Formats: sequence, C-alpha cells, structure tokens
Amino acid sequence: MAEPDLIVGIKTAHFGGYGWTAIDRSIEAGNLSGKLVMIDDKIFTNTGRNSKEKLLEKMRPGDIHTHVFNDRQVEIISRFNGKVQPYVWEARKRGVLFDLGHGAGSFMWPVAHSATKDGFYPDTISTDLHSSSIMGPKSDMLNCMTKMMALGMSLEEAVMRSTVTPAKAIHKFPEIGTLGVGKEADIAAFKVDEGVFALMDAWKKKKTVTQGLIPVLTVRAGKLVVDLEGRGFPVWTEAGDYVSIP
Amino acid sequence: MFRFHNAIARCLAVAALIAAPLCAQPVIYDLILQNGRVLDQKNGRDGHYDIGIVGERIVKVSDHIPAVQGRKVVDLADYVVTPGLIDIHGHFDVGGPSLSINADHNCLRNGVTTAVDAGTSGAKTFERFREHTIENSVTRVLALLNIVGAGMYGSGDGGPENDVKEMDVAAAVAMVKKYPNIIVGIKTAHYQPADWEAVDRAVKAAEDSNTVLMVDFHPKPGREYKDLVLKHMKPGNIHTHFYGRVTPQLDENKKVESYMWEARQRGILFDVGHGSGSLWFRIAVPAIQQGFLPDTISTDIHTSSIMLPHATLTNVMSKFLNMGMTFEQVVECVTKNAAKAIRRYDLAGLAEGDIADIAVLKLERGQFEFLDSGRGKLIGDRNIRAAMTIRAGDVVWDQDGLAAEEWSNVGPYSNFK
Repeated sequence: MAEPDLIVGIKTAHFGGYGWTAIDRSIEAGNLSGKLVMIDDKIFTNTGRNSKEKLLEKMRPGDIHTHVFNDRQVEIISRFNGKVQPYVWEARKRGVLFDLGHGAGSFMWPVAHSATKDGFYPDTISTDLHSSSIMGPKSDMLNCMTKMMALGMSLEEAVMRSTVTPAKAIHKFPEIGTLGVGKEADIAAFKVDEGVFALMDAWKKKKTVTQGLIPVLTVRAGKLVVDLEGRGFPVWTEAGDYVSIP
Repeated sequence: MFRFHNAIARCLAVAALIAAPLCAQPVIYDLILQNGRVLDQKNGRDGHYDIGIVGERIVKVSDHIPAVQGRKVVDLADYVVTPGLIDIHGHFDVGGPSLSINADHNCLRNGVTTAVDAGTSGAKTFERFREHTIENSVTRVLALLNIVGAGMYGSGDGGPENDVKEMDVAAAVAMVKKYPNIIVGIKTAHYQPADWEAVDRAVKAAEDSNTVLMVDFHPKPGREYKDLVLKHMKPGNIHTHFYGRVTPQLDENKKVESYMWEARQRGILFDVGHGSGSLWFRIAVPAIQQGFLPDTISTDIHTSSIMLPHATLTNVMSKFLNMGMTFEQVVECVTKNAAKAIRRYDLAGLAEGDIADIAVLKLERGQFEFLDSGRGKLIGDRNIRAAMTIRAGDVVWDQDGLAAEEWSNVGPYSNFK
C-alpha cells in the first residue's frame, strides 16, 4: 500500500511444497491490497494441487497464470487427447488471464503447437527475461512476439497482446499501452523482416521460420533511447565539427 | 540355384556382422565445426577447415573431419570461424560502479569470449569484483587494475579518481601478483588535476608488476598528450580512446600529428575504446585514410555506450570495416593483436591443443547504419554479426540455431516427469 503506483500486484513462484499455502496466501494478499496475483506453479504428482481447482476455484478473475506453455506449470493440454482442457476455456471465460512468461524453461514447441492448434493463445505476451533466457532461447519481447506469429497469431494480435492487454492486466490502461494524444511518449518501432529465423525453445529445439520482428527504435518518455538505424541523426559528413548531436 | 544364392546371402550377412564393428567409425569429437572459413591469423590460416573439439579443447584442425566422428556436427558454410574475440576494454563490475554491465550478456552474444575489465575496480575493490563477477562469468573476464584503490567511483569534486592518496603503487602491485592469471595489468583513467601523478604511478605499478598499462588521458595545459606518448608511457603501454575528441591526434587540417607516428614507432599501442565519447567518424575516417589504424579495437562497453551508439564489439568492428579497414584487419585487431597487447598470446589462435574459445561470424551485405559517440551516422554496406559463440567447448550463443535440431524432428518431449 506504500507504493501503489509501482507495485501492481502479488507474485507467487517456485513453491515446491505440498498444498495450496503459497497460492492461498498470495490471493489473500491480493484481496487485502486490492491487487492482482500472478501465479507461477509446479505440478508434480505430490503437490496436492491440480490445475482445474487452481484455475476455477482458487484464482480470481483478473489473476494471471504465467508460463502457460510449460507443461509442468499448469495442465493446459490433456495428456490423453492432446486437446486444450475444458477447464482452461472455462477459466478464461471467468476472467483468469494466461501469460506467456517465456523464460529459459517455459516455452516449449510441442505444448505451444498443441495449444494453438486448438485455438488457445496467451492473453499477454511476456518474456520472463533473465540472465539465462536471453542467452539460449533469446526471449526478448520481439522474439516472443515472433514466436507467437510463427504459431499463427496475426501481427495485430501480437501487438495487442504486448501493449493494450498487458497494460489492462496490470491496471495501467489507458495510462500506458496506447499512443493517444496526451499520453507519455513511450513508443516502439520495428520491422517485419523476411529471412531465415531459428526460433529456439527451452529444450534448445528450433522452429525455422521466414518472418521475424526486428527492432528499429525505442522512445521512452519522449526521448530517443535506441536507434539502430540512426534514423534520428544526420550523416556525419553533413554534421560539420559535431560534438553531440541532440 | 536358390540354395546357392541363399548361401551367398548368408555369407554376406555374416561378413557384414564381422565387418561392422571394424568399419564403424567411432565418435571421437564432442563437436565438429565443418565447412567454415577459418581465419586464424596467429597460425597463418585462412581457408576452409574442419575443427574437432573434445571437452574444452581443440584437438583437430584439418581439411576434412568425417561427420560420423562427431557427437554434434555443425555446418558453418557461409560463416567465418575465428578465435573467440577479445575485447580489451569493458566495464563489468556490476556489484560496483554504476557504469558496469553484465559480462556474459554483452560479450558472449557478440562473439567475445575474453573480456578485459579496464579499471572498474582497484586494489581495495578487486576481491569483491572477482568473487561476485569474475568467478561467476562464463566469459573469461580478465582485469586491468585501476591504480585508484577504490576503482571508478568518480572524478568529480571529491571523487576518488582524482585523489592521489588513493593511488597506492605497492597495493596495486601486490594485488596483481596475487592474481597473475586474472589481472593482466594496470589502468589509469579520468584523472583531472594537471599533473602527472596518476600516469606516473600507474606506469610504475605496471613496471613493478611486469604487466601492461592502459591509459585514459585528458590533456591539460602543462600536461600535454605528446609528452604522454613520447615520454611518460613505456613501449607496450596502451593508449585507449585515441580517436576521442579530447585526444589531439589530428592537426587543424585533419592530418595525423607526427608524434602519433613517432609514438607508434617506439611501441605505444593505440586502442579504440569506443564508449560514449571516444569514436568519432569525423576523426577516425581521416586517420584511417592516412593509414593510422588502431592496434586493437575495443568497446569500452558500459551502460550508456550500448544504447544509442550500440557499441558492442561486433558493432565497433563493423564501423571500422565500413570506415575502410579490411575484414581481415578488423579481425586481427580483436584476436591476434588484442591477445598480444594483454600478453595472453595463448588466446590468439585456433591450433590443436588450444582452448576451444571460438567466434562464428557472419559477414552480412546490405545497408547498415551506425552511430558514433557524437551520434553522427555512417551508412555502410557490410555488417559483422556473431552467429555463434563457443566458450571452452560449449556452445553458449547460437543466434541462427546452427547447433539446434528442428523441434518436429526429435519426437515428444516434456517437462512433466
């Protein structure tokens, strides 16, 4: 409650113990603070937890289950028929959000293919960017969006689920997530490139595709902070004895 | 007839059974790199070779290694295979001064397997840097120890980098001697007072420890650059940021000053150290046109230099490629020359027995734009990209998925066990 603008919610993660304690307490904290809860879970056989109860009874509308394409986090796909579980659709209907959370261990082509073949895509695209996820699977934001497009998502949907939907999920919309007049100028520009792209998953297996998103420039609060094509600056031969071109 | 054929067939089957174990080629190598253009200037190699790796070492370099002998085989046709790149100037003490950035993320992804931290830490702070970062990095992080005991904690008013009392030669020498395999030399930087204390103490520490010296220098009236490179520095010492705006390397007609040539003659090494303020196309292009090339190309990579100038090592190499240096010259600056400059010539090549630190580069053609430290733009037609990095035999970066299998070819896999 001390930093309501910075802290958007509660997270529970990596709990390997038995029972619902971690999830229950997170939701209690979410209730008391009026904030959302993001869940990262483990479903070993001895946890005493199951995905159906978690999604339909424990999680509240607006809570987020991350790492959806990791089959050890939440049972999205039935092991028996390879289809998306009915309770997943039901959970989505009642407002539970599903987040990619790619990371180093949570994006797997077999799971992603089964889910998307059945029409199930994450609500929000996120990276779980950390020290090892940027090395092996290279899970930066555009890489994650490229992967969703490789699974059949349109560019428009990929952008929506990386801007508007996440902004709404953390209750920061329309303050961020749009380019409306009067909004803070946080802007990304990128290219849809044709070429050969090897998209790697957590198991270091690749899917080779011919379309990828390439970063071009980033504006943060009106300031050009990344400009990989030098679009905001003059050619040096035309800049005289320049010192620092603004 | 039938029986006869049957007999022959049986004989053949038996023969095959006996021959199979004799003919089957055993797996010898953990990793084979095939068909790449190997550019190993230390050993005078430039051509198509196969490289066989066992564990962390290169054990075979030859015209052809049969694929069946490798546990993993990577086809590198259309790629250039070089010794792991060496960046002799970066800032990686992430538990310390705020300019530091993560070594592995910024090195390995750009083909760099050996990175030298240039004076972010000093004798008082090196142990923490070593424990926190150096020992925990996949990148081989070496260090130039700051002559300032505190390291790079500022040269503004009251900053330790201007404080001569912080420059304890004996303490620096003792630390270098304690870690001779990590600390390759001494660094002095950012010293603002118009005297020679910082330089002279750093020179002395390098001499006393028999290591290299890297100097970052801001000339002042009475403390001229010419005297630095002709009198105070010793042969083998490195001046970094020599294309910088504060370095008087060109006269008013953009002609390279005679003392630059003279200093080079007496063995002073000139290092790029791109950073946020030390690569200017308006300076480097005329210098290169007159033949004054860098001895070593380095990044001075830190928090702000990777943003607008985007100065990773492959980016800085690409800038020099497009300013008129050849691809071979550029590679030499970040392998053979860099290894020599830090006296680690063992890291310069790809010979049998060498540690398997390897960069796989792609020389791309098209239109590419580059920004210098002043944000002047250079439009070029070639770009060097690190497609793969191997550190001590492990594939640690594989942007093009060269060592990866297609997911649909490997059968089902699951985290749920």
